[in-house]
Amino acid sequence: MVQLLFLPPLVGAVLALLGRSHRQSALGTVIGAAGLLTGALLAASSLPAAAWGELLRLDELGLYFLFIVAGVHLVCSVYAYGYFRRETDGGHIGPSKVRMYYVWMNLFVLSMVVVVCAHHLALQWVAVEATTLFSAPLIYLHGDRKGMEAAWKYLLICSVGIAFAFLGIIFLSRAAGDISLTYTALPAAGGRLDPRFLRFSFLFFLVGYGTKMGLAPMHTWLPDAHSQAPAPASAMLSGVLLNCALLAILRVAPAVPGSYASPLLILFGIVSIGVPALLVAVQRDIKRLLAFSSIENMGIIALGIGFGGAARPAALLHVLNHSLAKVLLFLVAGDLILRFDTQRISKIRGILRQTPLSGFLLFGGILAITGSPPFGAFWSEFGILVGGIAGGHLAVSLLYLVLLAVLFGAFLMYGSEMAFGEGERRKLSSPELWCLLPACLLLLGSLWLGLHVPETLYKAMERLAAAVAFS
Amino acid sequence: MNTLTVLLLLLGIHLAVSERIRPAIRSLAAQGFLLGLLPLLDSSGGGWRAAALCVATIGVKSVAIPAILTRAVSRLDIGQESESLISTKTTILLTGALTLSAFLACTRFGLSGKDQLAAAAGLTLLFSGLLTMTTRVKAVSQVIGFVVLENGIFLLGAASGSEFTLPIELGIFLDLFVAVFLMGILMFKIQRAFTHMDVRKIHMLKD
Amino acid sequence: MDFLLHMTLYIALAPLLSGVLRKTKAFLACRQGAPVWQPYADLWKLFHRGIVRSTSASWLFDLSAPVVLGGTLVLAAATPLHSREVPLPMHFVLYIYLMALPRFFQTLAGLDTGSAFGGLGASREAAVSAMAEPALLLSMCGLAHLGAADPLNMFLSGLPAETALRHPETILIAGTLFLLLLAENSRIPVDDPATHLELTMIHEAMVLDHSGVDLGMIQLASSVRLAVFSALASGVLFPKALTLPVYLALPAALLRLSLFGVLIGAVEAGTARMKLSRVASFLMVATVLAAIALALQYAG
Repeated sequence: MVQLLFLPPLVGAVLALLGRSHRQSALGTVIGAAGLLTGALLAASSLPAAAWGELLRLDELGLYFLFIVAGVHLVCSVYAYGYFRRETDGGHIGPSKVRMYYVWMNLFVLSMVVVVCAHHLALQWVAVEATTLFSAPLIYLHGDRKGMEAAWKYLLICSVGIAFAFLGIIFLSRAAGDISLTYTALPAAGGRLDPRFLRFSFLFFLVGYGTKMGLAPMHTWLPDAHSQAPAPASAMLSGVLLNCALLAILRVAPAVPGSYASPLLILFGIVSIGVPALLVAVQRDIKRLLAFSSIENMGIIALGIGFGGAARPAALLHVLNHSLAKVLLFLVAGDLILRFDTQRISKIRGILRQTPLSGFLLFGGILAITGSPPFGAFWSEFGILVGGIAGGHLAVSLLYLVLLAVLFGAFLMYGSEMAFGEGERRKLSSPELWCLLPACLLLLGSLWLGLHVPETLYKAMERLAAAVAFS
Repeated sequence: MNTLTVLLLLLGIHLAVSERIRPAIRSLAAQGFLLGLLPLLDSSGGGWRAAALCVATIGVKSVAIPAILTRAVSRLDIGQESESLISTKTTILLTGALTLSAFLACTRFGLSGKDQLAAAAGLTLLFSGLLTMTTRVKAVSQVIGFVVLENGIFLLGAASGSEFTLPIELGIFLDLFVAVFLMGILMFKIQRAFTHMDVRKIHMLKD
Repeated sequence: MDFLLHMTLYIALAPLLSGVLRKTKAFLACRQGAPVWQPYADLWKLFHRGIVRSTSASWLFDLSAPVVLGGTLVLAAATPLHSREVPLPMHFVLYIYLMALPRFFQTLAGLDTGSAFGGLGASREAAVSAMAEPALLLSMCGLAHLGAADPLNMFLSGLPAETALRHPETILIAGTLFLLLLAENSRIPVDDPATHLELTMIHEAMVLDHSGVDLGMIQLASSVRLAVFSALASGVLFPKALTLPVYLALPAALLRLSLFGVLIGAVEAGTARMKLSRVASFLMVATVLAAIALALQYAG
């Protein structure tokens, strides 16, 4: 019954296309998102579920990512209603473009659901490429120059990157011979694979899907795309799409034994934390700032996965924590950008005084994303540090700690400037309920995960980490 | 098979060194056509499957994509030359060096005979596609480079005998086609907004 | 006997090749064009004319036309046309030198008269042939390696009969030879043999001062040279044609040369002449192809 999960996004896309007004299109999308979440909940009871021969299979790892996809999609669709209502009122965007936003968004989600459910590596590749294709129109939705530049870079860089992943599939299929390229058959085959081809295979996969995931130095498309897309799309790109690419890497890694997967992940991870640490201090655009934070967090996750041991469940938990906090930040930032009518950090000042709730959410989100104690990310980042030290990666762990401290300082500086800083007083439009309500939910979620990690969730993470066993 | 591979290689070299856009697009179409013949030559595959792949490859790579690119070139005021950041002579030398290194790499990898030739040709196409993408200035040329790169990967796939089920293969073609299609649309929009197609000048977004 | 047949074949078929070439070009340009045997008539006419020579020309100028024709004919004697056996087998390096010899004398003659166009053509011709040299050398090395058994004999004699299209390197070498053919015989992308503007000429500018019998010899030499290159390239592509019995080999030779005439004519009709600075790139491509062919032989 896995294929039934494709239905809600499809229905959402059709409803959005048929919708006569913005309200109807948005409602259709929300219905699709809610349906997807329900489907995920229903699917949870009967795992693992397979369909279409060996093409589709939903297991616990997939389900975890599916929940993130569905949840973030639901939150973002609700938010998008408020966001685009404000944009259309302001005359920034026409109604037909808004409708196409909902259509593309639903298709984008559909492709990600396929990524999550894919069992065959080549099908997964097709789906990952499809995510690029469906999300590119979201980036140049406004049709302005910057958006087109960003979409062009996004399309070209990600397509080339993903082409390398396909090269990885070719190498893997050469190594596998008759063994089918499914992520259950390959790890089971283990020693029967030709090691000559395996070694290169994972490198190509990592470069390819790593491009999509935003790992440095292949990250160059990411700040552009995330800063130019409309805020709910940015949130989806950052909070969900990057995770899907991560999932693809997690699926492949156990299938290619002896390919130095862990050291490579550690290397790319630490570089991806280091590059934002260097560049974050010169950012002027609030969404670019958040995009660099996404690169950093993907680096943290890759690092944690690479450390192995106790760090791996923590890294998997960090996927959820990052999604919660980053989506929250993008949503709040989008709202602020519309109300302040600028993306420049230096122009957005004194939020807490002028619009307290937004200011509170933004500052809270920045604390959450940098891993400050009352929020969930603290535990997962801490867990990765502990796991790293326990695993004997002392030097890398220390470097990780230093880089995190640098990033924490930088983000806190930007956050406090925006929240408390003195700036010219503006006449701001009134807050939008549909924009702030989803953000509040996300902040509460992140806070909840920080105060109390549910036993079942933690157990689940340990099971998932055991499922992606590789070294 | 060997003849086909060598012709693909020659077309790849022509694509890499040609200074004009239209001949490059014609070469690209020819390359797509030859790639389409590959599954037919592979005797092990079933008849229907091979036929479907042949039709899909030729349809997408030899007809649809060149048509999109030709349309873009003729509708947009792009000009004939595919300007490059490096001189033609450097490009030729680099292409030759890349070709040689591809052959050396395949030899080092322990491939031989027909496999080696196809793999080396595929690798050469991949390299030259990357070279085109990184050194050519115009957006059209970058798309051409991307398609050459994809062709190289297809050839590598054919060389290593990797086969997937038909729906997946068709999905791969669909992805490629949609990617180029989107790039084509973007080219039009970029042209309208920027009034030029010079990628060098599109750099408003930077740190 | 064999020698006589071989040489007669070359001398008889070479003008035909030029004729077919011109006819193809005319046909593709939707013109009627001169009949295929027009080159014979031209030669007949030229050989019945006297010589007008510049007052400033020296003995070198008188010497050049016979040397050009003689050198080219020796080259022809070493290039298989209808069988693998050639009357005059030679080492491939000597072969390359023999290719350069007529050119050298022609260049000298072009400079000798002291006319501006002669010097202009000579310098360009020298430049083009110098740039073609690496590709020529590499492709000959490749050929020699293909028939590796006995490089002292003519290389094509050692070429396995079934190579044909099975071996990628032969296609590459044939491709290189074709590019060289265009460059070395002043064909269109490099030089326009039919141009009327002296400033843009290469080969034709150089022989501008020759007339009568001298010009006839030079034109015959040009035709033979084109036939030599065509025979070489087509021999690499279709080595089987060289092993046929004589009564089949002669029509086969005719067919191959005509085929190349049509091919070159088509290329000439379909391409525009390059500017001189691009010739280097053109020949560089040929060099790279030859290098790849060589590398292929060692790798495979």
